[in-house]
Amino acid sequence: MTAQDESDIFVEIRRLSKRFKGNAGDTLQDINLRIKRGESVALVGANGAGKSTLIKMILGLVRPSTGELSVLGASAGASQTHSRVGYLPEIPGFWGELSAFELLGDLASLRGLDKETAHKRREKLLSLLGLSKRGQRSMGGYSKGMLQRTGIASALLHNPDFLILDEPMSGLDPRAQEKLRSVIQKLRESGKTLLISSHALEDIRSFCDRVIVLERSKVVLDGPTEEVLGTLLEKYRSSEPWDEDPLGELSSEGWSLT
Amino acid sequence: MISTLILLRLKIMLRQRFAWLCFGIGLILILIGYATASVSYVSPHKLYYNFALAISFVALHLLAIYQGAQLFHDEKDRRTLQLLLVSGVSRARWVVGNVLGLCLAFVVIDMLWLILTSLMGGLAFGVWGSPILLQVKILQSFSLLIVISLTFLLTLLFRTVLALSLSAVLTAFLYSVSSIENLFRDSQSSHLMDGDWALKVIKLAKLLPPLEWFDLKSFVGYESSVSWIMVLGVAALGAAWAALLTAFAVMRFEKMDL
Repeated sequence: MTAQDESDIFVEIRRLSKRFKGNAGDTLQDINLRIKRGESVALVGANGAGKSTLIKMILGLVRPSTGELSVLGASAGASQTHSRVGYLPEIPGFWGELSAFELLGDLASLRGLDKETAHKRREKLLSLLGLSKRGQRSMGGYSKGMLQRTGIASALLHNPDFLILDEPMSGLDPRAQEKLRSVIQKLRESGKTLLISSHALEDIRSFCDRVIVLERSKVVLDGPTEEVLGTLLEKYRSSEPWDEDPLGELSSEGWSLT
Repeated sequence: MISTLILLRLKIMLRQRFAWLCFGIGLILILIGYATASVSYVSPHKLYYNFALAISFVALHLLAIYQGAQLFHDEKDRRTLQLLLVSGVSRARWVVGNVLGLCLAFVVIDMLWLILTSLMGGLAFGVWGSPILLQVKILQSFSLLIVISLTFLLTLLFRTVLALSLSAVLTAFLYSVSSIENLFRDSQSSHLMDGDWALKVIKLAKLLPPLEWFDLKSFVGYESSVSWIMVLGVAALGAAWAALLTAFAVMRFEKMDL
């Protein structure tokens, strides 16, 4: 493999497993995958399949039990990778004592951005995400959607090459969702590498050219979006329904559902 | 970058209700000190300063232990820990920045208390303080640094309540090792009890930070100052102990899944 090829590999995972203390089984088992520059990859799976653990391992927050994991040519969590990676968690967490404006300033400083660049990017992102006015107020009074938008701003602040978005539409109203969709689309068109964990199949269709499916700690499908989603939907149709008639059962047990 | 982290912690701490609570408690304690001293006919200002310093000493250490024990789990639950770690802050910097930031916040609160104490002492008794007050506060800051580092290490090893209890008991013990030792020696020499095992424990405790050395309150009553060389020497020892305990905390934190 040439040096150019190596620098095009953003994530390289080989025989990765994770078992947490006290758990009977592996949370992730024998994961092998590679994400290349410019790819837009969706991570799909039921709750508890191991998506969040895999993302946390890529970010260096969770250490592997066995196997190898490199991000942008360095070990996961190395400080040089963080300058090129942006992360939006499913539920972003902030200090209620600070305003979004202050938070972005502090994060920019922690990332080593100079004051002028930091100021410009902060202004632009807050305006783009509709937080120009309310961005000055302390985040203790923010709605879930506003916190999500602040999370998006903090993920994009340092103009990363590689973005990891965990349920990006979570908590956003339809208008904000539309806005975020156009932001993600633009990021994709600008050549950013994206890893998106989502349950929204329509969003996956719009943004991603590859889908990885995790099931019971393992990668069970990995391929082009339409192909994998087709297989996945087929599997869902043929599997056991959630319940024959859950509302009917509840009614028969005396629940008033009218 | 570490300075941004220290200032961020300081800013968050001082904006919490907790900081105002500390300030209010300080005011009340100073008033109680004044009231107590007023009823004394012999050197009321000595009684006042002794009381005010003792109370601020105990209160600050308890508050520092409480905050130190909460910080890690609090930041983890709020997801602000992962926000910082994915924003280019290394695990080692996170620990060091928070220990120093927390200590700095308590030093700020302590300095406010000292100003109030001196103001009240000056207005009520015409004694505005002495150089020993500054020496007391300098060494108290270093003892707080040790106690916060110790609590931080314990909170990474145990659950919050256990870490808090262990830290409080250990701190109280290390501040009173000599008194306990004398007590056992006296009881042993008068054959009241067999204190051999206790003296062995006390010998072992001498391998731990000698917190007693940081307590200069007793000199205030005599209005005599201590040599600055001694103060600086003990401060350097405090810094070394805090660095050692923080290094252990970093080693533990590096291995943790977050």
